[in-house]
Amino acid sequence: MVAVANIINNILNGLFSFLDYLSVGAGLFVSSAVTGLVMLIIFRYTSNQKKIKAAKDKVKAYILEIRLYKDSPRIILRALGKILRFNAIYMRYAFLPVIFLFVPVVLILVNLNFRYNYRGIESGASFIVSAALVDQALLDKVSIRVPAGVTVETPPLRIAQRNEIDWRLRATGSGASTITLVCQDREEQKILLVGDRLQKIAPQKASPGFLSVLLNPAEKPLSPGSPFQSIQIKYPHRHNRILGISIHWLVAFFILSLIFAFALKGPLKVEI
Amino acid sequence: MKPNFSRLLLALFFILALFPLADRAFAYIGPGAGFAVLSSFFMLFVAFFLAIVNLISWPLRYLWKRARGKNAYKNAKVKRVIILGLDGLDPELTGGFMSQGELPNFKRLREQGHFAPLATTFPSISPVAWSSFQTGTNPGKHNIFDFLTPHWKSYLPELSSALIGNVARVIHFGKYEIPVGKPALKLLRRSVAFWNILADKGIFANILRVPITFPPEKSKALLLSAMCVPDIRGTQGSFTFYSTNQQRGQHTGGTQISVEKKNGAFCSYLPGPPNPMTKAHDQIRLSFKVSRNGKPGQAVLEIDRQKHPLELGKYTDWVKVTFRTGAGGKITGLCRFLLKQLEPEFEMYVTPINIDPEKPALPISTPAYYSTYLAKKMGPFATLGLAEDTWALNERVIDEKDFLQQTWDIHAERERMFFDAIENLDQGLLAIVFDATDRIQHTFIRYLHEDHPANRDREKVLYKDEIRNLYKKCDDLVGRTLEKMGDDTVLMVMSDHGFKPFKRGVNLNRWLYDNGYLVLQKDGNGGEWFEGVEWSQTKAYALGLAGIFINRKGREGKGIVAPEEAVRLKNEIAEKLETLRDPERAENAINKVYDSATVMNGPYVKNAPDLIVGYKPGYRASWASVTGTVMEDLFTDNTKAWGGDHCMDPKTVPGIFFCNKKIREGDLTIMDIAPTVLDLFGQKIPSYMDGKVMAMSIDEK
Repeated sequence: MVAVANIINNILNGLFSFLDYLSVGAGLFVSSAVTGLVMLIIFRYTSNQKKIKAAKDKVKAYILEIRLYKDSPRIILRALGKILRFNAIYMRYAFLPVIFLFVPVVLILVNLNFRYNYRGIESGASFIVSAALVDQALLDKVSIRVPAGVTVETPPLRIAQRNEIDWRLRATGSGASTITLVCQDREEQKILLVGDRLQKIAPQKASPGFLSVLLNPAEKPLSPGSPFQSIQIKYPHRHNRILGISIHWLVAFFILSLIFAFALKGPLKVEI
Repeated sequence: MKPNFSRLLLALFFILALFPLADRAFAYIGPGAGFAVLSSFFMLFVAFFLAIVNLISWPLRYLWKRARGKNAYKNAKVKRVIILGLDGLDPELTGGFMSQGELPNFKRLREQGHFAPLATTFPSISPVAWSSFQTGTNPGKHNIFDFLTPHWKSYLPELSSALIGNVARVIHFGKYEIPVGKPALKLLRRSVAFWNILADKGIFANILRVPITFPPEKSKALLLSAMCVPDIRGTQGSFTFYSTNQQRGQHTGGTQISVEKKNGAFCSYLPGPPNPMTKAHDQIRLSFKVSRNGKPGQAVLEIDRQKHPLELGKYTDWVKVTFRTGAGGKITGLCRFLLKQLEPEFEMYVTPINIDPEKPALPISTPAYYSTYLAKKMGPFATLGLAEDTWALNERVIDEKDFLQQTWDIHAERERMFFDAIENLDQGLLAIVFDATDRIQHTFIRYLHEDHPANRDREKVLYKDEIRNLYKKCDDLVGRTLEKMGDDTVLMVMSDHGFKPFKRGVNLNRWLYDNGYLVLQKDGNGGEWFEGVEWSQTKAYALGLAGIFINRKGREGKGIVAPEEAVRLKNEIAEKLETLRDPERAENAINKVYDSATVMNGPYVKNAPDLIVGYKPGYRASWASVTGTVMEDLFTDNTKAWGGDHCMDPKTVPGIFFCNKKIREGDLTIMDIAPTVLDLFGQKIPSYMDGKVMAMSIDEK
């Protein structure tokens, strides 16, 4: 199953590789457009378009009825009841395709999240490396090895209740390097990215399960039988500015993909 | 995909199982569901906002009206009035079926209230009679005398009730032109509809498909237009017939288009409206393909990027077709397809393309969004003025079974609207007109008359009971109306005229020519629309169904008859025509010829035909006479399916009037309804109205 997850990740990496050459704004613009299009197509073929239209039409009809019969409280109240009823029917039909939309959307979002949610460690800045272990007894047997350009600022802090061990490090160079954590002759390597270049950043190296691999495509998982549960670098969040506006990438993606979906639903004849 | 509850549960379970695994940011689930949430929220927001505003403001508005002494219903004698119009329902046939015990609900109405013939207008034609119904006036005051009226300069026919013009201004851009504004639309019916008087006073009025309401007037009433609403091509209803057999030829009232067979599929196009965005106004066409689907008698129609199943002899549902004008412009219409034959020849009939009520290309209701409301609530429906395609039956493009199916489907749509409107009628007026009665009597009354020329060499038994069935269905409709309408409601069931067989046609233009009143440039050369007429020597001509126009000096472009001579000429023509004998049947063809100046009054009498020809039942203006054709036999057998009519002596074709309230005896006319309804709601009767208030038992309470 992990192999399947790796294949999926490789395919997605290939599909999203064009984002490496685009700014945040342009990347989000293009990926929103493509997502809007793909989701519309999936929605069209997995939903009951006739029933969605019928339910929406009824809701709109009863809204118009409120306007037409404004002097009749009886008709207004009855129309409200009908609106609630047909709105519930509409929601039922509109949410059913979520089963088909959810998986591709999560995979797209995971990939975008690793590109746009984090930025590399600022050169000269301190950062925390955390490792969670499978057994509390192993906490005393962990050591860290850092590459040139990275210094360990503090001795390890052990939090027994969480099986966790933390170090504060400082990076002075820039680019990608590898931090090595050693426990009982087993080594695990975690990629460290320093600098503001737009790139895929994995804050966490996760355990080697199917979903874990699928949801963490930016870095290979821990080796099987590893004494570590996870290794994490606390990267700062990226503050994206699109058209001069500071906005979370997910909000921008949400708005843009809705706009594209709205613009394309007419030509594609999709009822949403 | 057919959603069901278990699939929904499975979906929810799957999503709930995945959510904890994803970052909270991944709760976003794509444009589809995103839109669902957003649009659902938006719709609910708008609905609740409107409802709250209206509910909160209702008592204030009510009190404000009371404070200003504007209690519209203060003097009303009843809470509700429902007028159920059944176009062309005949008193003689109704009485006959009632006496045979076939119409229990009509009988109940008669016993509980009143039943009488309802005198129709001069001439007895639907647009004229319904205009008198709505205005309470004679035709001289409302200016509608026929379906067609001559253009005084060119003598060519024009629609009498509506002017559909071009846009006032266009911007030229190469071979394109961009219309600025909307096309000129004008209702040519004069005087005031009584529902507008009621609505102006604050009395609710809902008017559904009453003829001569297109274009809709500005009004506070809710109104859906009827007769004279054009199809999407701007005609009064043009069907399209497709055939691989080129021998089927030309058709009146429609077009035949050839079909190509490509790779086993039948390919052709649907002709749409003229393109308003091009200078040449080229017709917009929509390609389609019909392919067999492997099952006998079935095929698939691909049009406008949609697929629709076709089955031999079965109409499709309404199909929405979109004609693109370029630059993002669209004109949408509705039509139904009927696969007639797949082999040896391919044949398919398409109804006239109706204006889509959801997105009307021309206004067809008041307020404009009323038709949208009806379409969204009830589904698509026929909007064409004369929606039932009698011409397709006349031309034998469809048969009786197809025609009946189409007519009853349209009737069912209207019934849904009607009963929904009754449910929404707290107080006020609801008026509706059903047309199936008119169309079916026009085309099936011949089955009641064995000697009808249209029955020659045709099947005479299969549809013998169709008229009886029609009246029984009307009775059932009346019964359901009585059940639904509630107390304190006055119900009037009425028709605009009755019906008689139309066996023989009289070509009035031929008669005028034979008697020297109409002159041709060359003898024997008098084609359609007065082709070949020498106007400088012509004293009279006939156009349309109503009668004869004098070629008056000062009115017609090439008029030669002075006013003083016109009176003498009218008398002379009338006298001669009243003795016109049909040599084949050895009987007089005309009961009486009426001088318009004596049977109507008002400012528009000058536009009326000078003489209204009151044919004897069985006779009518011939098909060729209506279109201004001269060279045809004076008398012709009417062999068309359209074998019944009412364009005869108005005294022989009264309508019906039933009411659930007792009315004191006396002659009733169609003009009496408007003042009676105004009186029921306690409103003053305008002095220009010619109708009289019916003495209803409600007054004596």
